Amino acid sequence: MSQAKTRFGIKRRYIWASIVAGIAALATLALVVTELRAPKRIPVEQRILEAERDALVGYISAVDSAPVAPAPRVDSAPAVDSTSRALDSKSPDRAVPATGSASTRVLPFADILVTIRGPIITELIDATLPIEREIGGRFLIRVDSARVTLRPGLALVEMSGRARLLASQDVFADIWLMGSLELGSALDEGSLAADISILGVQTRDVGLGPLSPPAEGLVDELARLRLSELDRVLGEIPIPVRLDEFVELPRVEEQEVTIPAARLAIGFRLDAVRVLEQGIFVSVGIDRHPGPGPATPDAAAPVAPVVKDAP
Amino acid sequence: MSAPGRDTGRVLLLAVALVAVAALVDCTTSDRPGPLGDDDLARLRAEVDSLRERFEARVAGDPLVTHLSAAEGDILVGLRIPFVQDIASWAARSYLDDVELHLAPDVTVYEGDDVRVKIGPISVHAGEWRVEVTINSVRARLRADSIRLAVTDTSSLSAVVVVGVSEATGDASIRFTWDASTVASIVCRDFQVDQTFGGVVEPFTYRVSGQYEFEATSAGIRLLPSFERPRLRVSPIPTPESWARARGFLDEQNNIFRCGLALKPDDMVQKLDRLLRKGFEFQLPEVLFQSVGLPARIEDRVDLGSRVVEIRNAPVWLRMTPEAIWYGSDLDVDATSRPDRPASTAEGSGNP
Repeated sequence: MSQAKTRFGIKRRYIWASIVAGIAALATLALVVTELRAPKRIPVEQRILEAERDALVGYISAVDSAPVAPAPRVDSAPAVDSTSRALDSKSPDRAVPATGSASTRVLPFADILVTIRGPIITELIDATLPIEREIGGRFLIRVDSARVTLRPGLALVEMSGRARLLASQDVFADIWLMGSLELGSALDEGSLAADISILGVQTRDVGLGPLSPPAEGLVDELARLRLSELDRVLGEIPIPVRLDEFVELPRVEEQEVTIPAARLAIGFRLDAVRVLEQGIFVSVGIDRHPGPGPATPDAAAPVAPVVKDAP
Repeated sequence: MSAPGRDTGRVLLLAVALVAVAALVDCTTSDRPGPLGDDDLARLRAEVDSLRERFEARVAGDPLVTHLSAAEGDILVGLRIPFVQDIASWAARSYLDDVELHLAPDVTVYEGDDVRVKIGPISVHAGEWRVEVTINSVRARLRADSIRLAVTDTSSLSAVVVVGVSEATGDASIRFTWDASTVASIVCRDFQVDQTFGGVVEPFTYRVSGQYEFEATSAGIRLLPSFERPRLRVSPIPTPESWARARGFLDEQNNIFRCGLALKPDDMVQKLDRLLRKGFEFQLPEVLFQSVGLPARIEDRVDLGSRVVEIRNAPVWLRMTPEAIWYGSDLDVDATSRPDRPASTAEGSGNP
């Protein structure tokens, strides 16, 4: 059988074999380097610190870049003196009465400010537990307990439970999940809701005893799981605050007067969320869309000269 | 190897080579975040501590945080005064502006007097006349010229609504009564005449003052109007036709058998006019002042996907500052709804 040769007298098959070997070596090298450079699971503490840092940087820059507002009077004494002060709803900056000293405004407050304390979120989550959810088509994650801790910039949710392999449910490991409660995007039809973004997952203290080889496999698989796949382990946590998109006045039908029902449509938009130790603060802005019914609000209309007082 | 087979092999080799090179390039150039070393982690801790300290300093300078820290309630809701003002203003306007009233005040005014006539040198008591005017109905259109709301204390908004009454018309009845004295009745008889007439009411404007008080309930905050319903005075003006009819029937009485000597039509018309100008008072219907709920409330149940949880809420805090109305509620999540066994949900299902 004749062998084709190049003009240099080298058999073509050797050339091809060399090329294949070179490519294989290149591919192997790429795989090795990729494996070496593959991101290791970032420790939970680091993720928590990074989340806090990012939030705090945002908060501080928002406070520092905001114009200094006059300090609002929020004491419990009578709000204004006897010479009542008319508030102008058309005031562009919603200014509050000054008391002389300027103050920083950490909490944005557009039109509505909702404050949610940490313990009630724990209670709400607790009401859903225990809960199991399939994750990634491989695991069954069960959460038995959860606790919410508020710290500046972060609403930390600690969850504990158990992970099982779907394929082999007698293989399990106790797990500990850390997440950040997020209200950033949730204002759906006047309802507030929170999502949990998982920051880390750890198997519980191995002091429980040596893990069986299959359980070690489960732990390894959990370690390789993308954290975002665990975000929906608890699902959405609704916050029991309702912002009604309509204010309605009933129809009046009496002998003396008939007035049609009226409806004022209000649009809500999430303005800002701040997490402090004292609570999660959600600032909501409104857009007025007067619906069918009587005239639009006119609180700032000047009072017409009065002809006479009612006797 | 045949030529086509060789070509295929070369193409495959070329593809594998390209993939390998791409992987190599990618793995050598990517810069994915990874775990920090001990020193970097320590630096990160210090950075976060420093940021926390800076932020806490700002928090301490915000009186709103101090205010809300001391407030009671698992959930607090604050609504800015201008927003509340807008809603109260809209509610007031809804019921007081461009509203047609159909009042049936059924009020009566009257005037009467003794009549004496001189017969020669003697003044004789001829009798007693009386004119009664009863307003049977008033149709009027209300107009809210302006609404002003202001913070006056910690629990209410004061309100001043300038209400105009226009296009008002009414129906009234007039009753003339002549009660002849014993002596006069020999000559002239008693009589009573009833007439109805239509009139118009001159447009007028009133300032209606009151306040909106706040009430915290499990359903949220309601604004409760507390207005002193004003007594509005209307002075009906008979139409020319009504005047003509009244004058005509007085003229009819002006004969000797009806004591025309005692009752002079001109005088009676003047008296009637004076009576009507004095006017009538009626109150705006109470139904015009209605409560209105503010559009933020605590829900009594939440859907947690796997189950619905009942929530009892008890308002524990209600306060008004110049900035906002604050409402705090303690929540009690129904523990009985907690499941004994885990609710199992497939990935992607469960809570919306």
